[in-house]
Amino acid sequence: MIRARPLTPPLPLTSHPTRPGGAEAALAAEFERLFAQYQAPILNYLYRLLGDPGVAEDLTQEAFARAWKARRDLPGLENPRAWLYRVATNLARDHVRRARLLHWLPLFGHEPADEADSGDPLEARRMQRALLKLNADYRVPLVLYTCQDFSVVEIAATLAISTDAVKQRLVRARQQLRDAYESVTA
Amino acid sequence: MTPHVHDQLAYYRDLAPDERRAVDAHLAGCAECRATRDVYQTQDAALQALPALRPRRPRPAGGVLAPRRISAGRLALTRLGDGLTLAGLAVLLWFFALQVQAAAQGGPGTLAPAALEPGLTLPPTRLQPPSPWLPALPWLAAALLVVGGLFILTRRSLVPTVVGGLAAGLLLISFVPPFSAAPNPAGLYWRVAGGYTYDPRLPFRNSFLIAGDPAQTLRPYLDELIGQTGLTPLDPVQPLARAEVLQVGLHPKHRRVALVTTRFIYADGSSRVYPVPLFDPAVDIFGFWLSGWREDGLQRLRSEHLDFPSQPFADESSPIRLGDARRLDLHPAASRLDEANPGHWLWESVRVDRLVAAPDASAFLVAIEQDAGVRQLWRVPFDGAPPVPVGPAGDLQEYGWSPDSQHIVYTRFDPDAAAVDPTRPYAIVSVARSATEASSRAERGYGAPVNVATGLDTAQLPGLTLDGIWFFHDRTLWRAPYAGGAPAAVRSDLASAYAPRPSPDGARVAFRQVGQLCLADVAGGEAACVPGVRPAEMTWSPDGTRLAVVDRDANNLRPVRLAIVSRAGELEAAYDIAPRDVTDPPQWTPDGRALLIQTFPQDGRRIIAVDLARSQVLDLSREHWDAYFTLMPDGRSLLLNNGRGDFWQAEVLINR
Repeated sequence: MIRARPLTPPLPLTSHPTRPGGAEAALAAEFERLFAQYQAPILNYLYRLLGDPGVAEDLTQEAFARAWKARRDLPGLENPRAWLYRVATNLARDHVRRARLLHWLPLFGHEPADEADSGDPLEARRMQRALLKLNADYRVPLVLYTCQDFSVVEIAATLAISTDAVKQRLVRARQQLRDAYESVTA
Repeated sequence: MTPHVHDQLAYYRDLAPDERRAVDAHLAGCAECRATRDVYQTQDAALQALPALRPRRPRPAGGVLAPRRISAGRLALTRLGDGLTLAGLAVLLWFFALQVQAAAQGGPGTLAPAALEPGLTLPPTRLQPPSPWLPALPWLAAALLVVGGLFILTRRSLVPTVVGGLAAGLLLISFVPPFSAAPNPAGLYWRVAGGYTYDPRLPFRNSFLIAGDPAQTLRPYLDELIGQTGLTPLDPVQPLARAEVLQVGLHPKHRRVALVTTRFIYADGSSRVYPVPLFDPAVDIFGFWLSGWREDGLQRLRSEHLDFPSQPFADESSPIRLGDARRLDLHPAASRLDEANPGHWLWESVRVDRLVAAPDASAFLVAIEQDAGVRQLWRVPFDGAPPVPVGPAGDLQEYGWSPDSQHIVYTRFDPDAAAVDPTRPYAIVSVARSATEASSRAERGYGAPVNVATGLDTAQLPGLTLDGIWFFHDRTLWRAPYAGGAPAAVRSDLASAYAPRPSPDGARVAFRQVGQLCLADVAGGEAACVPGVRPAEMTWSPDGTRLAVVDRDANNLRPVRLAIVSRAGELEAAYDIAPRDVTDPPQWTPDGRALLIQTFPQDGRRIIAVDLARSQVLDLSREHWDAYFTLMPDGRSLLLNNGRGDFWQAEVLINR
């Protein structure tokens, strides 16, 4: 089960640089670069975590809205990618916590045009269902590791846990996924 | 502690080179770990092959990106939707809980549709009425679910919110006072389509259609009837215990009439539902905004019942009196025939219909006013069969049976005749009983009416004997067959004569001539007139030896008398039967020793009995009856009705 956690602040800043005039434009440019680079990865990360394209899209927007609010701090981040993924992960946790109280099935399916071409759709659906069966504590590192190409160290930094804990969760995640996939295909 | 190779396979990509070499070496000799590696590789491939989403919104070309935020308002709407939907589910649970509670108390029958059928008497029940919210709960739950669903949909679009807002606004101005007092589409629809009703126990109604509060207007009048007995909607034996207003609505036909459907509950727990009309609104703005109802359908029951000096009320020692009334077990449709009869709604409408029992006691006739000047004659069987309409609805006047009960005869206004001669607009119509019975089985229509005569100058009922239908036309006394065909002239020397009443043997005929009563032989000869008797209604005794004549001055300058005239034309006796006003024809008991007459003095409805042996006049009517009657052919009981649904029977008790 996902443990409810308060949203953690962004990763420690190396500095708080002051900027002269035109600094706002530079900050916006920095944010725009970040947005362009990570919008699709964050969107797909949340999609695979939650399985709901609509929710993934909303939470992606929320993640970048928070990034926009924190744009003055972005240049000082040691690892902006890890910071963004932590924000997205916390948003996903909050969403799951609310949805656990009352889970609404999506009234409208997501538009297929939004999805990139993939392989066997049936197989993909099975794997997605199996993935959603995983305990969220295991699902997050597994998705970061396999789908987002995070290293164990990056996952540890993103989730603020030790590398040993990441490795242990990956082991258990893979075992749970194997069992879940078998139950789905059965 | 070095992790097992089996575990290291889970993050093989991140292994240090020496760790990776050790793992590879182990894999070469361990089939189980190789299988695990294959599974993990398959997992990685499958996860990476999961469909990817493309961002829905392309990046804006150039400029600073302004991220689209999930606005706090939209999130709040979504949460509000969740809350409302939860509330809807809670209301549903509440509804089911109330239903279960009602079922446990054995009371759901009090809300069954049949129980709301006006005119139905329920078996005794002492249950508290269910909450008025009970029927409203499913609607409330549905509304909450719909509104909640709309809010949830606003995650994707604001269109549902706009649509929902418009719908909510429409509902607000349609059902929630005081907003619903303004002109609104729902009110306009119901004004055109009719049939609007609301539950006054709930705070929802269209005040544009029915302003004010008819239920509150009626409440004090209902309270006045508590503890009273009487005929419909009271009970003749059980005092009224309480009255509950169930529904308020507009009359389906009469636009300025509100119906307050009320359950009258009697002392023994039995109850009856009756739609009490409220009418004559003080405020009527183009028929849309009605308020201030000044009249109601119960006011005649609230009047004081006093006897007239010459017609004392009958008591236990009287030679003639009535037993308690009991409800006749007729077809349900018959019991509801006249329960909302506009003809009974005004004080002035004291004589709007008349009950006429068939001589063979198989059925009776009653006329129901459907609209102003439009009346429908019904034949109501006593055996519980459905009532049958007789002839088309229209300007019906008088009606009666042939002595053998095989034909129904009525008079009506004939527009065709009126077009030819406006002073002679009336027609006599005969309907064969077989026709009405056949039509009731086949098509539930009326039988084929036969026009016996038309172009007549009076709407009075013609004389009806076994020989045929007797009437005057152009100074000539005619007799027509019931089945139609050419009438036969009987006498042609009786000028200015009206309303022939032939004796049962067909040998003598009584009639009105120049305002006085005259009798003559049918075969011919001089007419003998009775001076001082101005006949309004006449009936021969069963043996044909005497004639009972209602002697009434048209200007009410003297009391109404019942004159008993011999066959030869001699006045034998006269009795004051009413201080004034019209009466129905007198009805003889089969033994010819007494007469009963329906009188309407001072807008009242009285049942007057005249005991010829004791020369005594008695008023048999009772407080809160307000009833019409007809004497049953055996003379043992009266058929009663007071224009509020239901027909009653009261035994005639004769103490010789």
